[in-house]
Amino acid sequence: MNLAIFSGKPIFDTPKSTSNLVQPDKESFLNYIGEIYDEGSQMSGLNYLTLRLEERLAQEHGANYCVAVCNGLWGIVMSIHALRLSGKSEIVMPSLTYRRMADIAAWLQMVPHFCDVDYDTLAMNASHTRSCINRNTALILAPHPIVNLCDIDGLVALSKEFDIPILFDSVEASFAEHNTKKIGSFGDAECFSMHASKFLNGFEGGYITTNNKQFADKLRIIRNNGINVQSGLVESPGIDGKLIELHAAMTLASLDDKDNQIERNKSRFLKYKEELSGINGLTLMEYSLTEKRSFKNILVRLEKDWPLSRDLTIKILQAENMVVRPYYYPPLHKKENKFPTTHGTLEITEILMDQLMLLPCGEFISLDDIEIVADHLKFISHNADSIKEKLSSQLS
Amino acid sequence: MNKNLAVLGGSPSFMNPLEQKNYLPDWPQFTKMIDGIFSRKYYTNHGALAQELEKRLSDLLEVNHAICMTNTGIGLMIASKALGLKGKIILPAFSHISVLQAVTWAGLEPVLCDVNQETYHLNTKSLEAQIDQNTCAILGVNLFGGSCEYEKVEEISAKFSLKSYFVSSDAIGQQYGNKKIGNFGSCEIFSLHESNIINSTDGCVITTNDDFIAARLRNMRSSYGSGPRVQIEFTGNGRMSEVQAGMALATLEKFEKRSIQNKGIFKVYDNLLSKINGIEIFKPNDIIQNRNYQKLVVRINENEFGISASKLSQVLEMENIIVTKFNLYNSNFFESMNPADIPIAFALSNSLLQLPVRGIEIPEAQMICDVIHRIHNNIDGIRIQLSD
Repeated sequence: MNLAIFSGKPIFDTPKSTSNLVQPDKESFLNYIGEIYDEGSQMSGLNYLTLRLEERLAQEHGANYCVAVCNGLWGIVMSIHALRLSGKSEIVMPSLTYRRMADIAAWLQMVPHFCDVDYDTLAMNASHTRSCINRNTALILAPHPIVNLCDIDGLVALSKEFDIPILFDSVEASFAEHNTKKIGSFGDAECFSMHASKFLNGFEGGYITTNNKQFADKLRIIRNNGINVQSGLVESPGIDGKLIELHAAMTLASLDDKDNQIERNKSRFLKYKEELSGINGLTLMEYSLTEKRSFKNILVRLEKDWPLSRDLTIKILQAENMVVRPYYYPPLHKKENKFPTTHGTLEITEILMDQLMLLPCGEFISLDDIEIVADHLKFISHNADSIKEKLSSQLS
Repeated sequence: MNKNLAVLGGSPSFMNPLEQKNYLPDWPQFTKMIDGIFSRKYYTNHGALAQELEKRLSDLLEVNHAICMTNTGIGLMIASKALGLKGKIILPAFSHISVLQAVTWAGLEPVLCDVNQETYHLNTKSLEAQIDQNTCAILGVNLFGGSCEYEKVEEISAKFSLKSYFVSSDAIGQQYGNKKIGNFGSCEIFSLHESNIINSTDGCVITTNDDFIAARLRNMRSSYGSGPRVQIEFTGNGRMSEVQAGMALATLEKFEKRSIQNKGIFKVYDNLLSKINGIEIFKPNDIIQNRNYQKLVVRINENEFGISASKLSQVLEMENIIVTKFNLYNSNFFESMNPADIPIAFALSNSLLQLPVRGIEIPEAQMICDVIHRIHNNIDGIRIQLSD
């Protein structure tokens, strides 16, 4: 095999992304938006399609309420604002997570308290979270990892024990189930993004599901600049946080394709599983095949006996136009944050931060492409010494 | 037309509610734009259309940087942070609640400055007295095609080493003296909400000639299209999607045409309402040129006209004419919004009405004026009717 890092000719002509970029059926999108598209129509604000989407998402997630918002980041900001214990400042969150999660705390003038994660699930568990809880804890923010779920039961029990609200960031667990119950009504609330790279492509957007009516009502006021639509009064701090109808229509069209997308994702995952099995030092983070999952992301762990560093492995694959990326790197506690943060020991995070790698996934990847990706990994694994030698001679 | 007014038992002048109509591209143009996005398979993250829009807006506004974001509130939050502001910020008492909310989210303490009785904008005389050692900035909010006295605000800012920036939505494309609006202060923000002549259904554009501020705005907005890396405190998601950008590009094409149409509507109102006692159309200072005429407000003098703005809007609604009221200060949430401290803004919010311009035809504007005439001619009967 002639690697592009030496020859300069990548195996793929176009980049093979680690983003989903699922395209809903165009006609379906046009049908939704066509229902309201007329000369002079209102396309922003809390209109027909947004309300319809909220109703449908609540149903799909088995939750009583759904509140749609302009994007996922502000959705989390607004949810924390509505849920947090007043007079307390810390948000317990993992360090190994979405790169803007600490910034969310900064907008709220709160302090992220970074928590270690479980080696196997890659997520916060009850014992790590317990060690971060103190008298300043205002909220637990628990993101699901990008494969499988975090310890929902343990974390919810902990939240009850300390009477501290818990918010799940569930975007990567969209439409999964936990003990046959749908993701969407666990804890106090669950947040989702509809960014184009996520399971539901709404161009941009986000939504929050919950069974707590009081919270849902409060959130609706916050997303509307603090204005209560019923009374017309400004009742609380608020954000310009409404979803627009065009993004609602796109999400509705994506929802129509949900089950088919899960099937397509699953077949890609199973192909990876088949192709990667038996490669020494490389472990595919596997989805549960007994409970519902959406199979969107492909994540591998480079074990001790993988012969190259992760950085070098990524460099070799990226030269082939595979947009391979490290998993949540750098972790948040390693960033130069310009605002107060705090953390305890993060031993497992520090091990995991150099081990994990996202492989191309989503709609731009065919089963044949997966074979090519796997062949490259096999080749690298078998020829590591000569690759290293050739690279060092190139450098010298 | 001698028919009876609806308030006096007649039938409404318009069969259906006459509301302003938002500008949308026609369906074939819309679907063509969607075809493009679907074939490029690129949906957000500073795509081809967002880049094109920024270029076109920087040309229109004759400014170095035009940076688009998802909506005005979030744009203003990010801009306030990008300017590195901390402490108190002075802003006009007559504006939208979202302005007050946004600066508060950016960690600032809003100080409301009452507005000028005649210009409806920042009163630069009382403004100076409100500056103290904790003041960091002045935020001007430019309404109805008018503006604050830019040079005075900039002068005061320089004198006290403050930053100044502006929300200038209604002034998009207009000229202040020899400069295009969008070139003042540290930056200016224009709403691209659907109630505007150029609209992305919702969105905003932030303009600046300062390369560093532009870089900070882009770095905070998203990692895509962030340009050169500069130090920022933290990020916020302000991305504009491709479909938002596509809508704005389509309405931008018709900016000149619609400004001319709006001017025609404005002239009708101006000719026909100027003869009525107690009703006065807002007109900006002559220093403002190339008006887009996207908003038209009238001030109702209750004593002269005979009924209040609020009652007039009620009577017009019975005729199926939908006008906008400005009940901005119905909140005791913000302590600084005490009506006694901001008497002019408070009085304005109770005496102004915004009449339809966007998407209506000249005969409709004539009909509205005729209805207002008839209301004025029958004011005694209407007063009796409304007091029952």
